[in-house]
Amino acid sequence: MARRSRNQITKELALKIVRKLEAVDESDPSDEHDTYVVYARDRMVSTFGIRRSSQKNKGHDHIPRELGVGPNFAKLLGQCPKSKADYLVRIGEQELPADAQ
Amino acid sequence: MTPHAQSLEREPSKCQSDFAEDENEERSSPACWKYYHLAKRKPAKVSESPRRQEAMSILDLKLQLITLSKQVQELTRRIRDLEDLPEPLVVPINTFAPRPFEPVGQILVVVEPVLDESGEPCEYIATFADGSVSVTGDTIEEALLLLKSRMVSQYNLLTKKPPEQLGKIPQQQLASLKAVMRRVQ
Repeated sequence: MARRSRNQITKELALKIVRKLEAVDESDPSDEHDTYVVYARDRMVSTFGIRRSSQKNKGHDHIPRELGVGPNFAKLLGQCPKSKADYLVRIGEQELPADAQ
Repeated sequence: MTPHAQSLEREPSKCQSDFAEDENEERSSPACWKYYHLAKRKPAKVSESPRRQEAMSILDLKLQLITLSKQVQELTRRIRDLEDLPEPLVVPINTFAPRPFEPVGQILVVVEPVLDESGEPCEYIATFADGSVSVTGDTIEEALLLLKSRMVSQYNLLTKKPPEQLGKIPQQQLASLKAVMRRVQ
């Protein structure tokens, strides 16, 4: 089913997710997109692509699928409430901290 | 007495003011209210006459019919809206040219439209679901081209890393990509 809303994740928000997850730019110059890699304890935990465009409102609704989370979680990652630790717990790369259990 | 008729009995002033007392105006009022006037007439005896009970039942049925027809109209409108939505496409990838890769077997990817406020497609998300590789493009063609490029770059990136350095998602991505594409010498 097609979705009714557009641009839940804009390029601007996608770049905030890059900063929040401390993702590393490992793009190949010949590609049409930039590739960012998320590391945790020297392990690559996920990668995602960002469109090469100067328009900040370009849609990046594909990012949650590449990160392995839902659109709402991805949005919260970019906006603030969710941290990199929350993300690692969500995708099963990190255990819940003892005080959160 | 039926529930609808009871509710009308509780608010006689509102109903009576809306509809005429005399026969001429009564004919021009909505059909269901004809029965209301009939029902409101005082029966000859203290107990409700069969004719009045019948009129109240007809009134109740008419009101239910109006409610149902409104619900059917609303459902028809919603079904039409759903029918108008563009469906996701399942598209095969037959080549990665000019990149030095070729598909192994059939690669099926899903292209979903993203709708703007007016309900028209404004962007497309192409996804190779098995490998969790996804891109957004302005058109179906752009989304497919970007997806092929992304699959190739992801393949290259993951094969460069030592396997022990790959987390759960990259491991699954690499296994899926190796199952559907290979490098051509």
